[in-house]
Parts: sequence; C-alpha cells; structure tokens
Amino acid sequence: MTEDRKLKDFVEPVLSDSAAAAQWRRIERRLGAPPSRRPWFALAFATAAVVLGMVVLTVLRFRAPPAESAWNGAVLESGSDRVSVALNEGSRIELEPSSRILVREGNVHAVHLDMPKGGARFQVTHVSGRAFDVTARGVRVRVVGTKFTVRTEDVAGGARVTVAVDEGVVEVEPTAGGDVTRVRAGETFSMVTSAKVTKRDAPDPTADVAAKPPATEPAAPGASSEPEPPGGAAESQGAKASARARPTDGEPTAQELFERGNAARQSGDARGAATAYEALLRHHPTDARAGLAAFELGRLRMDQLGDLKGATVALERAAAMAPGFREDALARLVSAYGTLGDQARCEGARSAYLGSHPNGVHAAAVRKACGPGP
Amino acid sequence: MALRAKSTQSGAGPSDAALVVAAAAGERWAQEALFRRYARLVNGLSLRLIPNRADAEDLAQDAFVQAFAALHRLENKDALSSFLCSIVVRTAHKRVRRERLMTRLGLRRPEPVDLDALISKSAPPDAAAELRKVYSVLEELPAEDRIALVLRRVEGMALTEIAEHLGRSLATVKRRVGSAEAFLALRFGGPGRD
Repeated sequence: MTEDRKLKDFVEPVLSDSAAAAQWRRIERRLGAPPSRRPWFALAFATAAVVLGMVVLTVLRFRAPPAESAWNGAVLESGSDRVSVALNEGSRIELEPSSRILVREGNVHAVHLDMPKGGARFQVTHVSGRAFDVTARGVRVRVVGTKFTVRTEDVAGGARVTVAVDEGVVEVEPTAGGDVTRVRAGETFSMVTSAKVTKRDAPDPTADVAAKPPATEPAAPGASSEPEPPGGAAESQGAKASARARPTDGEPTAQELFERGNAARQSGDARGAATAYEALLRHHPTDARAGLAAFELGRLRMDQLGDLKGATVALERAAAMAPGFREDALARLVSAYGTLGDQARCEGARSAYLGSHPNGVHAAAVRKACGPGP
Repeated sequence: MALRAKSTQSGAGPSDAALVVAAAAGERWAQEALFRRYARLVNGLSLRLIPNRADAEDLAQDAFVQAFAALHRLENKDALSSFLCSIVVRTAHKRVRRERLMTRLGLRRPEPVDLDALISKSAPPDAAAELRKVYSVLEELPAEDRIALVLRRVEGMALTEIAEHLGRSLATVKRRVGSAEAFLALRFGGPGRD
C-alpha cells in the first residue's frame, strides 16, 4: 500500500441518503428515550454468564486434567491468634491459635489437607464431584459440603482427634484402616490415635460418636441429679486415654453405656439417657467418652430435666474434658449460673469463654449475661 | 437528507466546536448536523471493524448515541473525529467480545464474511488480496488482536493512534498487532509486518 492509498478506501459502506435518514431517525428516537433502552439485554447477558460459568465448571471437572494449583504444598499456620482462610470456591477454614494445616493438594478436583497440630473449623462449600478431606493425626475426615470442627490434642502415647459436625455429614476413618464412621449434624466423633499409626496399633475402631437430640425432643419430667464422680474435671487426658473401657464380667462397658444413653436420648427418654450418662461417668470416669457424656448430661439436665445446679456440675466437667464442646459448655455455664443468680461463677465462666473464644458464636450473648460486674 | 452539514454563506458551515457545544446542550439540530458530518466516517469504521452490514449499522448507531451523551466530556471540541473513532473502536471491541461469548454458549452462529460484498469492486488486485487475507482470519484472532489488526492494516493508523483509541499502552498495542501479524504470516506465509 502506498502512503496515499489505504485499504480502508476499498471497504466503504453504501450509505444512501435514505439509509442515513433512517439511521438518524433511530438515533433520534434513542436520544429521546429513557436511559435503559434494552433491559432484556442485561438479563440475557447475566443468564449467559451464569450458563458460561456452569459450562466452564463442567469442562474443568470432566475434561481438563488436574491443574497444578498454587495451593499445593502451602502451609497454613496460626500463631497466637486465629487465622481465617477463604478458598476461591467459597469454602472457609478458621484455624485456632497454634494450629497448622498443610495443603497436600488443592484444586478444583480435590482438596486434601493435613492437620498435624491444633484445631480448625471448616465451612466447606459443596462442589459436586470434588473430594475434600482433612487428615488429622491418623484420622481422615471426608467431607461432602458441611461445617465441622477438627481438633487434635496430645495425650499419653498419641493424640486425641475430635470431629464435631455443625451441618451436613462427614465420614471419618482411621488412616491406618478401620471402619468408616458417618458423623452427622449435631454429632461428634472422638478417637485416640497413636503418635505413629501402624496397622498393628491402629486406633480403636470403637471411637466415640455422640449425637445431639432433635430439636423436637419432648421434655421429660423433672429428675434429680446423680452425684458427680470425684476428680472428673481435673483428670488428665493421658489418664483418660490410658484407661479406656474394657468389657468386664457383668458390668456394662463405657461404650455400652454411652450407646444406651444416646439411644434413650434419641427416643425422647431424657431421664433414661441421663441415667446412662451418669452411670458412665460414675463407673468409667476416665474413659474417652466421659467428656462427651458430661456435656450431654449437662444439656439434658439444663434443657429437659429442670436441674440447673446438676447441669452446672456436668458442664464444668465437660468444659474441662471435652475440647470440642468447651465453647458450648462455657456458654451454657454462663447462662445457667446467671439464671441461678450465682454472680461470681457466672462472671468466671464469662471470662473463661471470652478469653478463649472472643469471637465465638455465643460471644454476643455471653457478654450480655451476668449483668454488670461487681 | 444529504450527507453534508448545512452550509453557512461562506460554505464552511458551523465549526465542529460550535456544533459540539450546541449538541452537548441538547440542541437536536446540532446533533443532526454532527451526524450528517460524521455518518460516513463512523459507518465506514464500523463496517471495517465489524464486517457485517447490519451489525455495523447497529454499531454506528450505538456510537452516535454514546457520543452525544458524552459530548460534555470532550475537552477539545475540535477533536470530535478522534473522539468518535475511539467510541466506535471501544464499542466494537466490546461487541466482538460479547459475540465470542454468545458463540461459545451456542447462542450465536458466526457468519462468514461476505468478502465480495465487502470489498469494493474498484479495489486493485493487491489491495483486494490483502483485505481478503485480513478478513479471513479475523474470527480466529483474540478480540483485541482483531481490532488492532484492522486499525493497523486496514485503517492504516499509527500505533500511537491505535493505543489512544483502544485505551491501551503503546507496548500492549505493539504486542497485539505483532501477535496478529504473526498469525497472518503463519497462515499465509511471508514475514509479518510491524
């Protein structure tokens, strides 16, 4: 092309006077029209964008090979404060202080996390076809789409792993092999694993699963509290771990009592459930299930049996023994002591709650409890 | 309606600046005068960027409406030509991207460019051949590369001018044009330009 001749000279529209006049009339109409002239387009475009997003997700899920993710190998670690991490697809991980999570794999197809230390609350967005699991010291938690908490703590010769499910369902299994346990909303799972899990010393497959009753559970008539076993709240985790219940002649095991209590509670027999939990605490005070049994007993006494004083005894024990329920147990203690008019204990429980869970789910209610300080 | 602005007695007619001021104030006669003055430029550029007559007319119409709504932002009232070109270029870019999306979603079927209808019968063989090359690859290029190639090859614009119209840096425009030229060279052989 020469300088004075451009290709554009050979691509010219045929714009007759009548065509130009028609075009001007259309422009003139639009100039006089309200600003939103084609609202359908925004709707159509938004719909198209949603469809595109679904198409992209489908393609990524079914056709694309697993992409190397920047998350792979990442280490999430909290210092003295809680740390909240949001994943791209909407899931959220809230690490408790002094916790560590290693992202073994993190992409659209699979999220595999290792949690060697501490605890964390997971709010997992359901993504169809995506695997999401958390492995905590010999226990693997498989997730579909749920909110749950995993906590680990050192005990003599190993670790205790507690899984508490707020919403949805998770599947828990020992990484060294063993039965898969489904833990549903309102239930908790607790298991003691050895520090180095092998086939030979695999975790006890008869791990604890405690279920909360349905909201419509009928109230039982008032009942008295059994005396608490001595020293329960002060017992060490090591002692609990080493003294797991074993079947003995004629005496129900801790597991049998625990299951008996759960079954009674789920059938609406609050009194029967309380009796079973009380027996467990009396005869197996150091069993791994004792903390959970204490919490359930406290809740039953408080909500259904009208025994606030007895509830505080059980809840104090639960707060000390069941890390997965410490927050709820402390919040209930604040409420119970407040109702009982025990100002000093109410304030003590309030301080304990706000000290360990300043942003907890009950924090607002706890702050308002006990009335003004002395 | 003749495609010429109404003339004054001197034959020059009102200046762009005067018409812009009046049009920005909502004077319909001034807007019409500007339309008549720039209809060929805007429709021509639209057709070269979107080589489909119906779509090009729609683009030109959109560009005028947007321009009249934004005239108050035009600082240099004599720079209306460049202002209109920028609006056409950016609107065309958006349209191309949107059409690509609709095509991917199956909501639009890309239509082949009717090169015989597009290219003037008076075009010399070498010019016609070059236009055929450019327009035959447009659908395969990324939206911005496509716009940059037409502005460079067909409109004959300088890279700085393209950068201004696209609202991109000079370096970006060089990359876009270079990428499109490389694609052309790969398809038809011979060294790419720029």
